[in-house]
Amino acid sequence: MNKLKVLLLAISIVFVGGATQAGDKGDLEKKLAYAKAQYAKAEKRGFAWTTTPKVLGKAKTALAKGDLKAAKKFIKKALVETEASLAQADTSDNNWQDFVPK
Amino acid sequence: MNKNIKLGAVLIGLLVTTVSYQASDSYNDMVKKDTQQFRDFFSKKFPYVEMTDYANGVYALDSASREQWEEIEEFPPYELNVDNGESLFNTPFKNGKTYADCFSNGGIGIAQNYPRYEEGAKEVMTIELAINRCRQSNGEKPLKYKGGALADISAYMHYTSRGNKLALTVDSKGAYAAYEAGKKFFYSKRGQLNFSCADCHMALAGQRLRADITSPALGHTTGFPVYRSKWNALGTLHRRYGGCNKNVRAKPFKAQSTEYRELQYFQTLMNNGYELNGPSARK
Repeated sequence: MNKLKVLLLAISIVFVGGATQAGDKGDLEKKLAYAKAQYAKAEKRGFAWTTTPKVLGKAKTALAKGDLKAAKKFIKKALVETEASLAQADTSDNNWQDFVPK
Repeated sequence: MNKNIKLGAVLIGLLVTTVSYQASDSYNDMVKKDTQQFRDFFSKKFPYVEMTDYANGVYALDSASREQWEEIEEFPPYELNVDNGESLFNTPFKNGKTYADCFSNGGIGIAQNYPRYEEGAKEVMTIELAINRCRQSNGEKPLKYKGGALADISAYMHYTSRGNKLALTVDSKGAYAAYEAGKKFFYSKRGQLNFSCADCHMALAGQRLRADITSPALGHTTGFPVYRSKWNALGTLHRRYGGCNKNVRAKPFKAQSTEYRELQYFQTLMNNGYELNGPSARK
């Protein structure tokens, strides 16, 4: 009976863990898609960085390999870069004249 | 009654012409004001540099580099490019016409009129773009914009214009908008390194960035196209723009994109009155 309980517990941990991992992967895929869309926005506004496609590529590779920890790291980096790119675009649109020496 | 209507029409016509003239005068006045401010920045930063010397780029600031450059210019590396450019320029297209048919004065001694704003097309026209438009209107394929045959033809046309003073004007709302777009580009920070053109070529002009000294933005466009030692080839201004953007990790625009043409328009207007001295040699 104890062995059965342990077996059931082990199966439930694997099942729940696997479901969590699948959920994490799905969540990361959505975040990667969002990061790509943000990059496309930055590109359209003329403020894309050369470094961001490389980071997006690494995120995609890591996700494909199932290395969720690495994928999460690269996706986070990509989101930081695209946010900064879009902030540069906003600064350019709204405040570029502040940078003209008087 | 008819007489009064005619008189009214003439008066209205005169009024519109006067207002239009005053508007275009004010665009040029605004650009002149910007130009003076731009030059004042450099004359304060480098009080020992003659204003005309800025046409020589970084060699106006650094005597050691200048010495090396003057030696290089004794046997200019772009000579063969100019010869090749002349040959290409004079070679007829398949339809029998030549480049001379597309440009005023047969394309000789006219580079100081570029870039200019074309009202019909509502765009900035550079000499390189004009070369390719000439080719396409005569049934030829366009050439690549960063170097090669197009750079050689541009080098020849600039060589025939050496010593001519830049004489650009900003005569319309569209032209002024293009100028302002170029000015915005120049002062906007981009790339992972968050640098603008102004950061390196105004604030940091004369400072060392790794092994090189950054050139002052004043006079930047007069010497192009340039034979750059790093390229081991002759290249156009837009090739350099792309390289600069990549240096700060900003995705570059295509050569002869609207963005780069407007940037060139702004930069060249800041050099109005300077003599063209291209092609030239650069590090």
